[in-house]
Amino acid sequence: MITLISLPGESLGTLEGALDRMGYGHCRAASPDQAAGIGPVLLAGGGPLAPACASLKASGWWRELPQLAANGRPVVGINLGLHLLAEESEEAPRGGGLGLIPGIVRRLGPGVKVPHWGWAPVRQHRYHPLVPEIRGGWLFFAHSHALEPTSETHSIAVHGRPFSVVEGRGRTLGIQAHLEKSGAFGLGLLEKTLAALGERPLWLPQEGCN
Amino acid sequence: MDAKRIVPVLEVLGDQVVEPGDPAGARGLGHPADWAARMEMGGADSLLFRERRQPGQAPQVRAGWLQAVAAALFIPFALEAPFGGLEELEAALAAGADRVILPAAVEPALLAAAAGRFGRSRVGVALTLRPAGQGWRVERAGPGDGPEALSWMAERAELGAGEILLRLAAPGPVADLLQGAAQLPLAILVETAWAPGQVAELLHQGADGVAFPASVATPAGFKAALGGFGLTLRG
Repeated sequence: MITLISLPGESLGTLEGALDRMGYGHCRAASPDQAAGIGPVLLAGGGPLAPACASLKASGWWRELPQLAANGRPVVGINLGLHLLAEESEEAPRGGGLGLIPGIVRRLGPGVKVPHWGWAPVRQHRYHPLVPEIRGGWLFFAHSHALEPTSETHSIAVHGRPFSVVEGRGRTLGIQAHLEKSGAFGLGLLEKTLAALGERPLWLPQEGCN
Repeated sequence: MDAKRIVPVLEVLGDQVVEPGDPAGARGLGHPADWAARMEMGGADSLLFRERRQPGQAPQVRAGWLQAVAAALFIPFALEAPFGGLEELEAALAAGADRVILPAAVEPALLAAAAGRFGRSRVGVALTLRPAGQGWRVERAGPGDGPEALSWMAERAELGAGEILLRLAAPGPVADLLQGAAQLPLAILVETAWAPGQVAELLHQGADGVAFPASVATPAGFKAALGGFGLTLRG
């Protein structure tokens, strides 16, 4: 059962539609007590960072996520979710980050259009056991900030400069692209990633949301 | 380099897609979610829904079809509508739209507030331009010339617009306009029913994408027609 962290004003409709199509069970959880007992926890969003950060702190997720990650529970951040999992972001310098993925999220540019809203080609940089191999493909991005790639980065795209598309540290993953908005290619990556994290389709026994 | 976006436009009245040339929307062509899935299968890179408001239409009608589209469509989509305020914009985004497109006459304060609350990538502005001498001016109701196009777009970028949806009311010299607009920190989506060679020229000059009525061509057909012009397109 996949837990989707619900942030105020964020639509989870497409992500839920994608999970339905894949046959994965899911539930929304505005606070940790609404989460499923097992399975990946997804943190997805696309708005400004500071209100999302404040919301996570108010709901209790800010304290809960590091504990879940430390216990080996899969935690996946998508777009804004990746920024929240990182150490810090230039978007809200004093807001801090969860620090589950190393690195500082920096503003894109100069010399390119920001926000970056479009389809960019992606290439794999390094192997990660929980992320499918990428042999080229287009993913959709909607962001003004991104994590700078390191030698540990799984995959990269370029908007003025290279930026990290998928970061994996153990069972914590950060994904800059909107996989759920990236057509069949993005859905395939999301499905295989969730399968690698141990998710099972609905026809197998599930543990429900609290 | 990003792919140039090929964006079908679907006009919606109530919860039905209607023909652009059918002002009363007398004949519904199907639910927006069905059209959305079809356009994605057909190779669209994103979709633009243009809402024609029915008098007295309940807000739930829009929320209902937006939610259905969000659950069935796995590419981004924008909604252009005569939005009245922040709450209405928030409701459209919360229902699943990736971007809201405001009318050209939007109050600057509303545009700035929307960009501040939802992020610049989620807010765009539509405008129609008319050629004037060697340049372009923003079309507006009433007598007299509208403001000069490039400076108007720069002001909207400054206020927080992340995209300009550009309609050209008549043919004119686009090179300086689009090359100038390409320097602004926002995406330029040009809506046109021009021939492929002219569309390719718009994209080469700096437009990030082209929007066209979904009834004119399939996205894949549109991309095929642009295939020989050296553009970066998503396959």
